[in-house]
Amino acid sequence: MREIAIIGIGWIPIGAYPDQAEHELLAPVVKEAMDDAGVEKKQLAGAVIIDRSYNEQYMFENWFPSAHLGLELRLCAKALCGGASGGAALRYAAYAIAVGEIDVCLVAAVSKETQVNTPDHLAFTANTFDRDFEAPHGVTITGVNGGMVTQRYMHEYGVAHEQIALSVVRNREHAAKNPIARYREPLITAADVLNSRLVADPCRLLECAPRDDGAAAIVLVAGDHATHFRGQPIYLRGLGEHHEPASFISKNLAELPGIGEAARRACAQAGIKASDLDLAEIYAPFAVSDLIILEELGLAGRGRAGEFIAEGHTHLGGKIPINISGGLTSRGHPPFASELYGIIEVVEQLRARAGERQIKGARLGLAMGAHSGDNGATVEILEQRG
Amino acid sequence: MKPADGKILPRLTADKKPFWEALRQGRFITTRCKKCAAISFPPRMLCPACGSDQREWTDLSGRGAIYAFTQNRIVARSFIAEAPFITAMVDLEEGPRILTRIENASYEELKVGQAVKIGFKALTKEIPFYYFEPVKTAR
Repeated sequence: MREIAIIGIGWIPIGAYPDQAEHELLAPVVKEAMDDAGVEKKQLAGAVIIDRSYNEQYMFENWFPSAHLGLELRLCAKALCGGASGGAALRYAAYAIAVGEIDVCLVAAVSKETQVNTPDHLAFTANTFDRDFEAPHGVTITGVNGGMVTQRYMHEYGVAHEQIALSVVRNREHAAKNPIARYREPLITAADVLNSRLVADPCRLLECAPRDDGAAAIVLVAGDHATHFRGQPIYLRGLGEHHEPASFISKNLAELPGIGEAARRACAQAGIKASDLDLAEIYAPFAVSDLIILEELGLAGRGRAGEFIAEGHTHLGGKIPINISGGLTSRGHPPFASELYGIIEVVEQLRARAGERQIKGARLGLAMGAHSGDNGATVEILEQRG
Repeated sequence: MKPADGKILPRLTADKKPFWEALRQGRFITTRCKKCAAISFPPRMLCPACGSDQREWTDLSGRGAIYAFTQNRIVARSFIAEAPFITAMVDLEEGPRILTRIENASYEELKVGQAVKIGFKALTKEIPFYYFEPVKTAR
């Protein structure tokens, strides 16, 4: 099978864009990614689009690549898999390239979350639960993945809430150095996080990823074509994906085995250990998810991730910097585009273009997405071979 | 997608008719696999354990224990009048872990492992529903 490289990236700062339609956010990032890659319109043979918006039903797979961008394609689809949509779209493109069907493919995502208020947004996301037996009880993602998971994590390990909140403090420190992050005001201590209002006891507002708008694009190319274009190639060294037979309700809420298995598969394909990584952009929609993912990656023992963060190992300059971009809680969270934003941060770092948040000599990075209460996951390991 | 209007109500579909009919009469039932005997909740068409489509309806005791719980302070629009309210994962005696509302309890008095039992409450004239509440024990 052929190798795959990312040769172009494009993105907008994460924020609120009330005056721009979805396709108006997407078009500029597509142009930026193609310019960065040095790919002409005629050379794009495929387009996989992720669009998800709460104010209108969009049908991008039909008209955006064809009518709006004027592309003549051999592969075109919309890919959705919740917070792992970026991984799903990337795989459709990568597998088509790997088998030789196409050589160059666009993957682009737009996600608008700010043009609807919280009660209406929660009415939409209630549909991620069983529509007839769970949603009518009033359950929310925040209540389950924020409230219940935080409760169970502290119950299982006897960990203080302050340790969980440290992941948000670290994310804010990192986001301060990222011009595209939406939440850059520093939080000095865990107490700042735990003084924010309760949203789903014991989970506090600042422990939750907010709702944001964003758009991002990448251009994938066959490895044997990578040097034909201007963009510096960053290679996909390992892909791993796993989906547990569970959604929100799992055997042990203090663990995320779907993410652990996806990461092990990605590392096995790459022939590395997680401790070999120079950075990881993890998909953690709640403060507690950050800790559990570090444990699933094997970077910290069960119940020990809070200590690992407190010791500075996941900060810029530490053993394994986590969420240098600010992560979901501080970079911001346009959920259907967040995985692509993570991939883009890794590409920026591996190309040594990350400015004051640059990790010196970074060559190997991990990005990921997760869905269904983080019971399913896509993990990507990227490599710089300069 | 348009914002959901009104209440989030269950759809009483034909396949689940025995469940809703029983609930209306104050019985809590679900599906059991005829092949591997696995009990599922919510009721399933295909057994999540073995994949069989051979199923039968079986009574549940309506008793269980709280695995995890939260007090919801931000909620979907149609639930605002009821907020804050408690939801939980409850391990039913028969095995399944379910998501449910908890009534007749304060967040402060609940504990992980707390024994709970089912209660019945119609959501509209046509739609029966259920919740769980603490089992009061003499101390």
